[in-house]
This record gives sequence, C-alpha cells and structure tokens, in this order.
Amino acid sequence: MRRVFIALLFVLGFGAVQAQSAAIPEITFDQLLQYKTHTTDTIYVINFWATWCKPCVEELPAFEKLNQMYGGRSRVKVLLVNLDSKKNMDTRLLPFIRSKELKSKVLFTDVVELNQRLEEIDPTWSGAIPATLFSGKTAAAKIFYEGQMTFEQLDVKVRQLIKIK
Amino acid sequence: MKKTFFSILLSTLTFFVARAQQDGYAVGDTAKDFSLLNINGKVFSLNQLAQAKGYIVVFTCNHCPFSQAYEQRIIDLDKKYAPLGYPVVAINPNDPVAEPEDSYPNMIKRAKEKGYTFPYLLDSTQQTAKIYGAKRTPHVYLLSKTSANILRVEYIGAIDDNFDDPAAVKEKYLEKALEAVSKGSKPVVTLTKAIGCGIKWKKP
Repeated sequence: MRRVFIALLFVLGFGAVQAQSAAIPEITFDQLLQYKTHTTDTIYVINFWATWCKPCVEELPAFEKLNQMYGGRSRVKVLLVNLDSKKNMDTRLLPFIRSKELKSKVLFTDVVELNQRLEEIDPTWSGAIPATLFSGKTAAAKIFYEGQMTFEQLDVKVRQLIKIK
Repeated sequence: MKKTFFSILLSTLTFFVARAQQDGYAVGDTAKDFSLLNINGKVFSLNQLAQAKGYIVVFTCNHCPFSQAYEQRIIDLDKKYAPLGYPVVAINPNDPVAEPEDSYPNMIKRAKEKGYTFPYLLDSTQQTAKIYGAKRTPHVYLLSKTSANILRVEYIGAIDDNFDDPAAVKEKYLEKALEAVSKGSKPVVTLTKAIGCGIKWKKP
C-alpha cells in the first residue's frame, strides 16, 4: 500500500514537474530575432539574464516595476529572456521564478545557439550579461545596453522610444 | 616631408592608443605584458616564462558558472599546450567587494582544490582587463611571441562553441587557433563571442 502511495506521489510529482516545464516557453534564435526586427507599434524591452548572475537578479525588480507600470494593454512589453542551462530549468529556474513571483513574461533560449549569433542581437554585445535590448518599430528605435540598469534608466529609454514614431 | 611623415605617424599612433583605451585589443595588436600577484604570493609577468612561444591568457574567476563549466577544459589546455610552448595564464579581474567568492584567498583555495597547473593572477586594479578589453569571464586572448619578442594578439573570444556540454562541442575555436599559430600560420577564425558573466568592475 505504502509503495503504491510512494509510486503515486512520484508520478504526480513528475507530472507536476512536466507541467512546470511547459510554463516557460522556449524560443529559438529566429523567434527571438523577430522581437528585434518587428515593425509593430510595440516597444519590447528584452532583458537577457540568468538566475546565477548576481547583477541580473539585482535588476529584475526594475524590470518588474516597468512591466507593472506599463504592462497590460500598453505598447511596452517586458520580456525576460533566460539564459540558464536547460538542465537546471526544473531545479533552479522554475523555483526561482516562483519564489520571486515574477510577473513579467519569461522566455527561455538556448545559449549555445545564441552564442553563434550574438552579433545579430547587437554588434556591440561582448556577451556579458545582464544586457538589454529596447526594440521599437524603426531602426532608430533600437537601443542596446550592456550592464546593470536601474528603473530610472529603463524608464528614460522607454520614454525616449515612445516618442520615436 | 619628414614633418608630414611624423605627423601622420603621430596621428596613427594616437588613433591606435585611443582605440586601445576604448575597446581593448583587436586581433593583430601588440599586447602588453603585466605584473600581477599570483596565488603563490609572487608577482608574475609573462616574460618570466621566457621559453614560451606564446600564451593563452584567460580572464576567468571562481564564481561564474561559465568559468566553472570551462575550468577543466582550461586545465586540459594547459596540460596539452604548455609543453608545446603555449602555457595558460589565468587572470581574475573581478572586484572581490562585488563578488566575495572571487577574493584572493578564495582564488588560492580554488586553484588548490582543482589542481591548477598554471598561474592564477589577481588583477586588483582591473587595469589589465581594461587594457586587454576583457568584458566577461571566461574571455580568452591567444598571444604569440614574435622573434623580436613582441606579443601579437592572434585570437580573442571563446574556448569552443558549447559551454554546457564538452561532448557536444563542434568547434574548438581556441585549439584551432593554437594549431595554426604553432605552425606559424594565422588562425582562420580570430574572433568569437559568447555569453559570459560580466566582469564585476569596481564601483567608482
């Protein structure tokens, strides 16, 4: 009886883990690039981060605040592109997202694939994270920033892009 | 005539100096030697390894998961290429205030635990990282020594194309560059980029 119970627990636990994995959409590089090359009225604020990256974790609340302030139906969309290792998704990334109660949209992308094409995100990107791409409609409305940002810095850039038609 | 030549030379030099200060080294640049504290308590400079034909200078650290993922590969590179004249020289550029795990005592501890066979240097002023243009860890600079004892930057970038799984590596960028340089030719791929931990700069 007890064994059945343990087995049941295990199956349920496994099911739960599976369900959580599905909660974070994985996107390919081509899909990621569409957020840069898009020509819609949306302003994407795309932050590249990882749970192990201290300055990334420190600046997450600023992105959360931005998401909360603009969010909803506004033109501004915050995307947190996670660069953890895939094997740590269930053990590290999901518990992290839950514990921090992140409300912004989190996407997962494969670093190995990203490394091949970093230049396409921005030619100036050294590869260091945190890094953030602000992507408006036109070529003039793309800003790339390598390094940690405060909410005020984020907000200034977003307001700047809102003005660019 | 002479004056024109000198002014052109001067402006060219100024241009190079200005660029070096801004972005660090590009492939083909002449690299500067440095004097940094090694984990054995002594100051280390590249010229102390007088027999070397070149150096694998790696900006790395203790705490960064990408550095950790590459740690064994860095040790293996030294084992393979130091006897061929290209030893590894590792430099930790991080501010220990920002990242206590990268402090000097922790460097000594980590090197001992993992059995580093190469110098592991503390860039306490972060000047070497700035001069080289290192931005992240790990960040590799392959240097060759010319007959005139000039250090030429041959390759800048990643060790290979898969940090996560050494078995899944398709391109060993650094080793390919090393093979070319050790044969006296120029590497085909001289610059790669990869996600890494941003260097923890001292707060001004």
